[in-house]
Amino acid sequence: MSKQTHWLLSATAWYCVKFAGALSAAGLAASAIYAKGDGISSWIPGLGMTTIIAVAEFSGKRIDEKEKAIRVATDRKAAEAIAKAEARSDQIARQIVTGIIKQLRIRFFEFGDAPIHKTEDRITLFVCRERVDNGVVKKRLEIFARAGAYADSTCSWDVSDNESDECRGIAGKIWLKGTQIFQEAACEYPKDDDLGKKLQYAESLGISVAEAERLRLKSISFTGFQCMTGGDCWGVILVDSKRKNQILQPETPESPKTKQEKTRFREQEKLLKQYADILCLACEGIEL
Amino acid sequence: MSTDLYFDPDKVADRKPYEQIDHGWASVSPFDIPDYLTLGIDPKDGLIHCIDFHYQGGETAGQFQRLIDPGDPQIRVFQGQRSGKILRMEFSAPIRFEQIPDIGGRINGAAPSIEAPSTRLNHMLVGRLLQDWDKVFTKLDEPPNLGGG
Repeated sequence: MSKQTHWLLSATAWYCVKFAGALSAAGLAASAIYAKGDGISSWIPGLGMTTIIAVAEFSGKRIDEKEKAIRVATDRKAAEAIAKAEARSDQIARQIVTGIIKQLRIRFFEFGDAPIHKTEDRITLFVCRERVDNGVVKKRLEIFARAGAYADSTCSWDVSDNESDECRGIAGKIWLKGTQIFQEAACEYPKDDDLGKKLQYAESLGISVAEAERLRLKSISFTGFQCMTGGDCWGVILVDSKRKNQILQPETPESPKTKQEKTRFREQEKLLKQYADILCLACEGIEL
Repeated sequence: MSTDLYFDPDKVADRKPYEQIDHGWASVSPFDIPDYLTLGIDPKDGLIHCIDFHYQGGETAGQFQRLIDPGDPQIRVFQGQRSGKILRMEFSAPIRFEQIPDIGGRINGAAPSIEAPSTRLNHMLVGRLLQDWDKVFTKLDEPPNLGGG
């Protein structure tokens, strides 16, 4: 085989493998064996066949690439559409749940002629979300829906199933205990820089002074409980108010209640049970 | 044969237990308050062999069984996997209706020794409801046919 023929064959083989496929390279090899180096004319039938195979393989490859490109574009579009639909359904779910807790807020805080306070009475539904931090799964209560002041807040509280110190705030305490909690701050948050009062306020709520300072609404009375769905704890419902005697505490011999307070306390308890049932059903279909 | 009995929310609220905690109170969560119970009754003798409690929240019973005190009949309690609330009660020997308050008293008696607050408070409530079992259900036009026993 001449040097020129050798180069021609090598170059053709390389192009066959690169642009067409293994089948045309194999065809080239077969025509070389068939020709046995008997001059260029003996190569013509083999090379002809190889060219046809190469063209077919090349066309096939182009079609595959086009299909692949279309598939990638379709997949991307589908993924975008799914993400958009998920965001929309999340938004709708939040709107529905917000509507429910808005109704609960009105019914819970309005009593007799006493109106609800626009900025100081509030109900929040926290959702528990997990994230991996340095290989450790951490849980956090994030606001899912809120009726009342600072509805756009991004405030969240760390919780843990194992460590009580890692459960922050009243919401964290509710998460940890699994019971309904009624709680009052030890004092009102000071308007001046009284660090002693700030510490007293923060400690009674299970938070640091820095965390207390960051709270935009310095509530003093709270109640709440875990929200369960499908046998799991979905989040926490927290009712809080900056006003005294809006979230009534259970009666004790030391702090007897008036008949009206007793009626109101009973009404509030019944409402929480009713709305807990509704929220349980509403949250069941929400994927996290 | 089984019979469902629905609790009257007002009567249940009257019996809710409260425990003092730092700066406040803990009580049984709305998801740990039973809505109704099902009595498992043997049609042959009309005796009760088990009681199922139904709640919102969809919790299923775990494998764990708790035996309440060494009294007679023995009570096996099937608790919720997460909250520890009573989902089912089985008796080593079937009981008569008149024995239900006694069963409630035994559950109430065992509750204070339970460490987990949610489990303890649920046991207290269920105990109280069973102790007053003839007063806590919604009024029906006709009393349910509870069989003999």
